[in-house]
Amino acid sequence: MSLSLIRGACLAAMLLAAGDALAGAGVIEINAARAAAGGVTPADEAGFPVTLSLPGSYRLTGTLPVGNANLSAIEITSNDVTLDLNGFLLLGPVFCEGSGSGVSCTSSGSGAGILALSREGIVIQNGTITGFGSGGIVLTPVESCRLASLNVVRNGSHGMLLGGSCEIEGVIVDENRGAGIFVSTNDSGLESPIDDVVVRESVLSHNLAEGVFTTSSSGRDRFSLARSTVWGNGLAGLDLRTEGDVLDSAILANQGGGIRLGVNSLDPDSGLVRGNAVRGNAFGFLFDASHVGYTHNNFDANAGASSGGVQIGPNVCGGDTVCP
Amino acid sequence: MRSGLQRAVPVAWLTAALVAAGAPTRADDGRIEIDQTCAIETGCGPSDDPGFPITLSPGSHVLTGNLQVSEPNTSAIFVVGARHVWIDLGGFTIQGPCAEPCTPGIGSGVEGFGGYATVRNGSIRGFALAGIDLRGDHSRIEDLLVSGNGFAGIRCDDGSLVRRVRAVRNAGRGITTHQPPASTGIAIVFADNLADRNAGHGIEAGEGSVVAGNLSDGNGGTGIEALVGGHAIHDNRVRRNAGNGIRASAGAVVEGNTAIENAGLGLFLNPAAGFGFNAIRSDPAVVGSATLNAGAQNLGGNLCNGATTCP
Repeated sequence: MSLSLIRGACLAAMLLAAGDALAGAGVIEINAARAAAGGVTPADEAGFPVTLSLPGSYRLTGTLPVGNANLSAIEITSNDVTLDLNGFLLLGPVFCEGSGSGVSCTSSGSGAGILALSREGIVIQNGTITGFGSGGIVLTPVESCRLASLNVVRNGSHGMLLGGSCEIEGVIVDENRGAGIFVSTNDSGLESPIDDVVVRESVLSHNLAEGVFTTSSSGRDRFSLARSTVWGNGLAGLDLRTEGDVLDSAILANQGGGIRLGVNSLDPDSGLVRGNAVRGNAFGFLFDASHVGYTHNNFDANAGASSGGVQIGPNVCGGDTVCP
Repeated sequence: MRSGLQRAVPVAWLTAALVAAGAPTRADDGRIEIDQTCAIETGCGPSDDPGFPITLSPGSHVLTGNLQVSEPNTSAIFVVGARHVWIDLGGFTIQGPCAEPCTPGIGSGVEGFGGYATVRNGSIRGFALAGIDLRGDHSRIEDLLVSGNGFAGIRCDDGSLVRRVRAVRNAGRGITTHQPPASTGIAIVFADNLADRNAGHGIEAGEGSVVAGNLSDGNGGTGIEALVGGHAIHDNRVRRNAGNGIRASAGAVVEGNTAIENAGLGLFLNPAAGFGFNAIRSDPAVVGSATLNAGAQNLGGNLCNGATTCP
């Protein structure tokens, strides 16, 4: 038997072992029954987590209720996976309530809604992730990911824990017991040393800690936010200890301040803050003294003093254009 | 704002509701199907009885045909107290009883009180109250045509996303928020919408909202009305509205917009609002049409009736 025939036979055996989940090819369905049975992919065992070990397109065909706070709903162990939640929920057992610094949860645990470690090419879209002890989405790190049209709410830790490069669009991240989005930038291990997370047209609100927190690093890490609202978080709206852009957004009533950029960083971090309405926060902004430029913002009705940064164009501060 | 009822609904209840679900008709992809037949004859899901409104539980739903409601005080779809209801209109239309102009009533295309609701991908026409009226927070409303409704095209609540909606010829506002004391419509993202020929304001935004990339044209009120303060208003076009083009409160940034031939002011701004890089042209044929009021904070780069000097 030739080597190619042996390889073909092995591939056929793998496909058969995967059972019905791979029948008919195309999009692979995931639901509670298939989660219980296992075999969604060759590496998937019965019960949670559902393991996605092959590249491809996956779609929920029902809500996945997970009863154990220490189990994840879905673990992605392959590159190039697209997961469509199809309007359904990943539903963990942790119940959270409250808002901002008042968020509390019934329990914690090590399970996440979706977990992927050191992967590339991950797309997750169209559904809700709630009730997971260690966070809604944990991708650390993932290169070239896209998260779109998701509600990541009321989880027992961060809404999203990310590293690597990720585009996030149209998400609602609300009332999680941690930061809304926590970007960890010192654990890449991937080919690209750059962490680059972009968020646009999203709502980041009422999380226990920051709306967004990015950890400091000595690399070329960058975070960008545009056309989004960051509202009522328990700590700062944005605490970016990397390079960052904050554009055309509303930063409202965050209990630990509006925007911190380049403060407490390992290296001087540059940034641009332009076109934002920053209102009713504990303070308006704290910027690195010489590397953050800001222009065309309106800082209004913030309780504490703002400081730092380079005013590269006019801003409104407290009703006039005289700014710190 | 959240009601006590909404906060009291635990995940356990949600799970129990899912487990206890009966056997609604499901599409091949698992979503609960909704059409006129189940609405009238059988009920469309585990919590729904025959007849309108269709009452939905948490989960994913898809229309597989048009819906037609004939009673002006009845809604087509009702989301009561349940969070996480996801509705894909599947490109179909929910048709209410109104002919234009619509006589006000209390029926809406989609009405609800639960949070985190999603409605997308279809048309809603001719309801006495609104195309969509969601009192729960953090709704997602996308890719819709809402037209010919009696009070508003869309009415939503705090922390919502409203994107790529066309609100056309509604008898009140095009896209708006609930008002105090029930809510103040805080921190909503309105992006890439069209508000066209509505009788009231085109888009009405509560405090701390983002209004970006919209076109508000020919409305009976203001093109973009931004209440309370702290808005980021960017890259919109407002033209030929019967009121002002953009009205913004304290703490707003108004940047990169085009305001053309509005009957009132192109920009009507609080003194503590800032504006820059806007192009504004008044309508010389309309008495009272002007570029903007004096007193707001000019951040530069504006063009007012062809001059770079603005009031």
